[in-house]
Amino acid sequence: MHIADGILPMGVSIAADAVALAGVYASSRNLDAREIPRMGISTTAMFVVSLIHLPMGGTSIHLGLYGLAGMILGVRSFPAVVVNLLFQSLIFQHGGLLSVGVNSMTMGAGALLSWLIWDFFPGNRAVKSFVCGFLGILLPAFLVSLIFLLLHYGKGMLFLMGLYIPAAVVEGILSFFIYRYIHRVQPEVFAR
Amino acid sequence: MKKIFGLIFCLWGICAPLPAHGIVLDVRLHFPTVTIQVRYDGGGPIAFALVQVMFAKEGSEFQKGRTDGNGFFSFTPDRQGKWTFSADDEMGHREAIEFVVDEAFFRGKASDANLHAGSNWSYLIRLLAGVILILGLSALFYRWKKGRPEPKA
Repeated sequence: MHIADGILPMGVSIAADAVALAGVYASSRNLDAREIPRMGISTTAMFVVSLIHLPMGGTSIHLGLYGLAGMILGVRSFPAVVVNLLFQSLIFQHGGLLSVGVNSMTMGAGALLSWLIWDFFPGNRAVKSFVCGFLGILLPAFLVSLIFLLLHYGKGMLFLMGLYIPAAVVEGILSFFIYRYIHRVQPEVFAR
Repeated sequence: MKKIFGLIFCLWGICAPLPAHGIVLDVRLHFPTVTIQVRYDGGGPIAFALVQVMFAKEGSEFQKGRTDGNGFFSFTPDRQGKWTFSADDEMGHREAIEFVVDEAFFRGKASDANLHAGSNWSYLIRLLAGVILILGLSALFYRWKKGRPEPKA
């Protein structure tokens, strides 16, 4: 789901980098030092889990935990997603360095949607944890496939979405169990 | 906090043996063909990946096609010089490699070389480096931020 360099026009990639940078600034304003360890640990979890791949349809797809990041960090999940993608690009060549901006926006959108669902939608938190995990990866997959559709690139929107629906279910279940675990051992992690 | 760290290390333990997702190109020069295997970092071959072969000096396309079911692609170079091979899995992942086809290759002598595009660091080392860097930078940022006055509500 990471977009490599050379797929998007360079101007678009640079503009997306600028927008992502502005997004990092806006979402990090008035950051309290006490929030940083939680951000660091969530970023590490995203970095680690993104290396779990599910072979599917002749290719491989991976998890992201963007939904869980949105649940834990709220609006601060955006800078965490950016840092995670930067390190993935630098260390594992997952996604281009110039494309970090556009990747951040697609995957950050999943985290921010989860934050909105988690904080502003009424409902059972255990159910919401599954929904956040599910949509936290499905929205980025939808946005990436939309970009590919506009560029006339790739195997088609339905193919990509079809691949990511099982991943979204896995991610929803994983988010549910991680929520249950953290809620039991350290419930204040989910407090704002 | 120890339990949260425990959770991350469990995730790490789960994912450590699994293949990562970057593209790796293994090039084998053996007269009269150049054979390249396109695979995901960690081992899985990329079947039917879109590939392009360019003669680097002229920037001209020499061949275009797809890998076979096992991720292999072969072509027969017709001149000496620097060649570029790029692969795309059409899922947003791309990788390219440059290699030289020299006189020895055409003489059919000992020009059997193996080249590799992708990181030479092992998967686990990179994973560990990433975790240490992210946590280390978070600690530094925390230390720096904590030394400053709290923001006004």
